[in-house]
Amino acid sequence: MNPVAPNFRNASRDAVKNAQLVAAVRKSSDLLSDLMARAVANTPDFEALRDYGRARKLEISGDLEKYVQSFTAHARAAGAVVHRAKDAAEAARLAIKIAADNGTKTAVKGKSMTAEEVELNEALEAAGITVTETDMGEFIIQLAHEKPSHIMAPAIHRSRAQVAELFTDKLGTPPDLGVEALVAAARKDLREKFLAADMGITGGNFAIADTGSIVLVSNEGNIRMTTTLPRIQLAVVGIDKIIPEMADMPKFLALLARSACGQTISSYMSIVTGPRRAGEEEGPEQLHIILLDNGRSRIAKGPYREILHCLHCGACLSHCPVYRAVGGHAYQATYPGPMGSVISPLISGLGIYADLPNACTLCGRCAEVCPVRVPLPDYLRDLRSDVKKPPFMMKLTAFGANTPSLYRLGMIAMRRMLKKGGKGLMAPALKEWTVCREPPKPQEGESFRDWWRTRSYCK
Amino acid sequence: MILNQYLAKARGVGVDIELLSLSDLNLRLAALVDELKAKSVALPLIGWPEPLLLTVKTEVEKCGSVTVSPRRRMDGGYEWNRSALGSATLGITFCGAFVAETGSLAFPSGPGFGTLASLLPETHLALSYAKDCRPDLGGYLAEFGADIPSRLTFVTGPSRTGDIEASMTTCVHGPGRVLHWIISA
Amino acid sequence: MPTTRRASLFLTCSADALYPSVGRVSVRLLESYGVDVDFPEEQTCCGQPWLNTGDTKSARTMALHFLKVFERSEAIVAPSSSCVDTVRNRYLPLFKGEPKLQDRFRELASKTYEICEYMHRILDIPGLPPHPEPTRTTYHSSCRTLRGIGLRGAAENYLKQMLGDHFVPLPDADTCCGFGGSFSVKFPEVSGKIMEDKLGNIVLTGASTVAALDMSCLTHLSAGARRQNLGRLRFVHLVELMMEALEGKTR
Ligand code: SF4
Repeated sequence: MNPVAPNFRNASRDAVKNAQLVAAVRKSSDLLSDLMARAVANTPDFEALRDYGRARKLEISGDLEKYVQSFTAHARAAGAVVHRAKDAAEAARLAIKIAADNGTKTAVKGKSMTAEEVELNEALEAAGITVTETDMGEFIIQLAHEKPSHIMAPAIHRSRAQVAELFTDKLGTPPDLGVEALVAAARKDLREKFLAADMGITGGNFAIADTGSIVLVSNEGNIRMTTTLPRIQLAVVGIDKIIPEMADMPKFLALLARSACGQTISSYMSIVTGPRRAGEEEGPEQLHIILLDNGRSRIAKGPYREILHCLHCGACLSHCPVYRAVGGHAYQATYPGPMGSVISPLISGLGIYADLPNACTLCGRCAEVCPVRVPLPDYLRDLRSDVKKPPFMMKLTAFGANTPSLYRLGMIAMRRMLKKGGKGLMAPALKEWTVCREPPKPQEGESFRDWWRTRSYCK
Repeated sequence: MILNQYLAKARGVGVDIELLSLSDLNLRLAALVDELKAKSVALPLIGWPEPLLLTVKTEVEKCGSVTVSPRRRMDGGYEWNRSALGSATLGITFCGAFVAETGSLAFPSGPGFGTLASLLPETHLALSYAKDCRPDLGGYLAEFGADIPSRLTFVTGPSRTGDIEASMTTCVHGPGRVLHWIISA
Repeated sequence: MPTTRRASLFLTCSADALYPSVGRVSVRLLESYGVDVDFPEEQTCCGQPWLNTGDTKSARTMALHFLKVFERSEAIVAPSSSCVDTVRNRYLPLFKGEPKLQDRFRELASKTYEICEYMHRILDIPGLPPHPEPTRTTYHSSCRTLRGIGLRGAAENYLKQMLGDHFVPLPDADTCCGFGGSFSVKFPEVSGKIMEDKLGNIVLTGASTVAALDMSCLTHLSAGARRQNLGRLRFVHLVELMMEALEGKTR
């Protein structure tokens, strides 16, 4: 998929120098974090809700196939056509076939990270179907031929001024429009496309096993349009989005809405259960649901199962010091930030994304805010030991550090080396250390151990 | 009690709420149509309590506005004329229930219960009776049991986005203004 | 009859190699509160660098060594939250399926403390005298202090008692300083960027002293401050300020 192997070091080095990018990411991340903090503070039972979320998700991921079967049966009973895709390529093939079978030429699409994961737009465009992104952020990204840089706020890396410039360039709007005028311009441009499209494509925030419903939340209204106007509807949903019962939904929604942008509920929520029914004046004639596996069944059986509990709220991104310093593109993966650094290597292999589990200071902020308590730092640490055999140097120093006499000599040597400006064994590490810092400076005078010995002797 | 909770929640997300009696409805409608200079008003025809619909339709037309409604199809179903619907500046719908916990209006689908009138126009007026207030989402969903409608839509405030610099802006694709008139029975 | 409390000092490698004074002050501070301190000389490193770079095998060996050295101690006290976090929270998962060992590690975890935490939670020291020469001071509550060992507010309270209005809280105190162990040399540009922001906040407070309970964060921050010509900033473990307050003189 990626022509060049992703390299976080190189990408992040460029990203931190991009002052505009860092400022934009910071500004939005701060706002989102504040909104979440306020919403959580106003929810007295939020911690209990998080416990519930985790416990319920553990039940689900422990028996994933059962819920997939149940969802499939109920969705079919409601009249939906349910497809199962074992990987991204199969999902793309299925989508193309659905479009071709129904002679669709144009599609409008709501924001879906699952669709990004299968690179659905690229596949459909290659098959001659025009896909228009209708979420404001995605619309901007599509105009700019970029990828989303945040799972909730895809255009977080762009400033208002940059969006204005882009719109002038692509839509012919007057220069330097304000946010409201930009939104109005997008509304106008997209309205026509909504009314004309043959196919509506969405993801799904939740899939309810006991009713076969897909639950979609949005603030803009584009999802309602996408699920109501076109004649064919396609929802691409990861099997991790399945929850057992409708009764679970309000609680997961409460967790998601608060963590994503500090709301009690988003402006719109559509619960879609099958296509248009007899006598109804709206809704698609066909509803297709592609249930995407792409490694999820495998992950559910392994040691990182809780990453499937992720609600895609984006809180771990907005709170992550690394994400905030480099933005999402530096990760060069569909899912950036802490949840991305766990899921990306699990889906695509540690060979491709070996850097990502290391691109974390283990500060623990993500686990602290995650609404379903995914142990992200633990997973990132564990993934490091899955990456490769420890280098020889590490093993050698481990032996030294574990042998008291050698360890003591090592400490003395380190102090000497640093006092002399860090030559010898320390040089390679020190070269990286001094990219942004001076070498560590050992205190003058006797070592602690010498002091202790003299003191004990004198006593 | 729950009505107060609803009022606080829904007003908090920017819904314009009025509590009125049936006898005030005509006056308020006329004032609204006038304020919006609404030449055409989208109005689903069925799924309303009869007397209310007649009042609304008559009053809106009396103000000189055209009402746009779904037309009956050969197969007995209904269909919107989309371009006519697209030009309506105001959509008036009856709302099945409203939820105190979240401040949401609920629109279950069904013949005549289409939601486009609450989505395409820039202003949406929802009418309901005070008795249709529900305490929470879970309880309301449970009322349906296994019999979930094909579309169950919840509207909580105006359409908005924070996608540009996380600054909240309304009226993206859906209405920028949501009014909810609660009629005391 | 009141028995004397005993504690074993776990020096940690950063104090061992770079900051002998932090070790000396830790001993004297504990002794001044009547604690009988010993220093098991066979101690090495807690194993954190290996643990965090994925070398769990080496980390296990070090955990076992730590157990051997400290198991019989009444309490283990270290001037570093991140090392305490390692002993307390990271050893146990390394020995899944070995319940006997896990029991021993659980016991070990339950008696290992950061020194300021030990003063606050075990010695229950309510207050400290005013510092003789208070200077404007801020506090970096490291991630492992906050989220690793869950110590919130205790250090700040001590600082307020010693320094009064000279203590200024750090804006964005919850955020990481960008060190992250191996992260600091694997991705030095990002580490540096996060550090820059932290230093920026420190400068904003107008403080001339920065205290923390983690010498590794302080090593990173002080080295960064020197690069940025903020050389006048003094970075200290909180125990140093405490000792100064107790002795009534600045070292
Ligand atoms: S891992 Fe947790 S915080 Fe991160 S996006 Fe998923 S649910 Fe949100």
